[in-house]
Amino acid sequence: MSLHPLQILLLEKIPPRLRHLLLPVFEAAGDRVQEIRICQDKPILVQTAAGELYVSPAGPTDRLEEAVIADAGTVKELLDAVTSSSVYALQDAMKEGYVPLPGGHRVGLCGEARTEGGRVAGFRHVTGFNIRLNRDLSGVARPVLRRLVRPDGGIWSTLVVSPPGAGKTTLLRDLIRTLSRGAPEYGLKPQRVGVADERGELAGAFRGVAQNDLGPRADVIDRCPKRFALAMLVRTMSPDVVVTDEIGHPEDAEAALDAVTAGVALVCSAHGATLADVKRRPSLRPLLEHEVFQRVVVLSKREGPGTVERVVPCGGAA
Amino acid sequence: MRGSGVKLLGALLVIGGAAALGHLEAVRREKRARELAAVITALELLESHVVYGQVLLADALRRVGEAQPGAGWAFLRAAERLEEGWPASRALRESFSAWAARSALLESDLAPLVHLAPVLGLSEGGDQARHLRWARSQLEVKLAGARQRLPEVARLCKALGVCGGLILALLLY
Repeated sequence: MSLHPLQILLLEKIPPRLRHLLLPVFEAAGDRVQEIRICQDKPILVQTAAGELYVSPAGPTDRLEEAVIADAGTVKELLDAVTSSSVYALQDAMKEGYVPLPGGHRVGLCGEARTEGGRVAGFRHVTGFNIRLNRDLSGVARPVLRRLVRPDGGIWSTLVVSPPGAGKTTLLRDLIRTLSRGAPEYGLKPQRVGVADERGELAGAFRGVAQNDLGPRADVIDRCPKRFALAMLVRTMSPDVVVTDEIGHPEDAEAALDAVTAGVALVCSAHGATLADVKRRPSLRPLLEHEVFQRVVVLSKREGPGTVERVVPCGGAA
Repeated sequence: MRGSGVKLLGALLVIGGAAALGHLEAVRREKRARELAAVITALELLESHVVYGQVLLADALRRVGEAQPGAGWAFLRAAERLEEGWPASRALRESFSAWAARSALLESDLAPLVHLAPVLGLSEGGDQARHLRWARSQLEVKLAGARQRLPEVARLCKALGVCGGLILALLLY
């Protein structure tokens, strides 16, 4: 099976020893590979859409006794490789618990954190990695798009709700691309899209350059707190729509509300299994009380990540 | 007559050879001091790129290499190795060893750089600054030793070369 270019970028970035171990896994599982977990003194695990696999010298296996155990040397080599031997230059991202990679992949970190003044200031020792693969899937927004397009060719303000790992970010990314290009078959006109990508997952930017195709009209502010990025986008880029992931703080919600009152549609996501879960979250209260969202898309993993459970019309314009 | 002429020529060659050896030793000692000073300056530059510039290590090493003639060769080589995907510790060790073979440095002069190799790039800025300053302080001690009475030592090497040659020539004559 030929590898996806994004998978090739990842394999080029990791140390040769791991590359030789993981290549057969990618060849066997293809683009179903979602995560690779490498923790010191533990077996190397690969999460695919079909379930978990161990990595053995002979390829993927479901037998724990055949699994390769990551030793301290492997962990050090991997840290060296994913940080380009420049941990000091990646402190901002590492404070958030991850390292960005070319191709929009990201590496979650575990180990001994270092705090200063009650805040995480970095890692003293990194002993575990979760490599989350960027799967830039095109077309996943199509099944919901018809329900999100307004009669005037714009888009309703939309909240995407799902538990972790159920495809929120992938859906948002494809929505951005589709909005930016327009989809005449759904009556959607091309939109100027402002993307507040605080965690760098939507654009998958690496050193400021978006690694994911977000279409021709997407303006991205990367690694900037949402409350600032949303205000800057509305003020300077005259967007038709602003998109952001995981509204988690009341300040973010206030900034999103400001954007909507400026006449811009809002598309964002929130963790939760149901709409009721989301309604209980104080951070989203300002947006829900003001009936900002006209559509809520609920995702689950019932039939694999990205299963659309419901598209719920809500708010005044429903 | 011809025999004494050959003897004289041989004596002159012995004296000249010994004087050249003395001169070379004096030059090597002066070069070692210059190279130690160059490495210290290079580490200062590297610290500013790493700690204040937050430049990726390969780029930082390249910038240092381009700015610093002589010692810069090792930094440029290390940058190339890093860009080829080598781990930093291996890239640095290999580059400094290769440079040592063509420089006037002693093996013990490289010890601070060898200690620096496994930690360079793999911790936050403050920690990197500490490691770089430690390596620099070690090299400064070596430089102080190398510079101690350097002009006298250089003259002594040259004089010893000539005198040693004279003594050897007299003994052989």
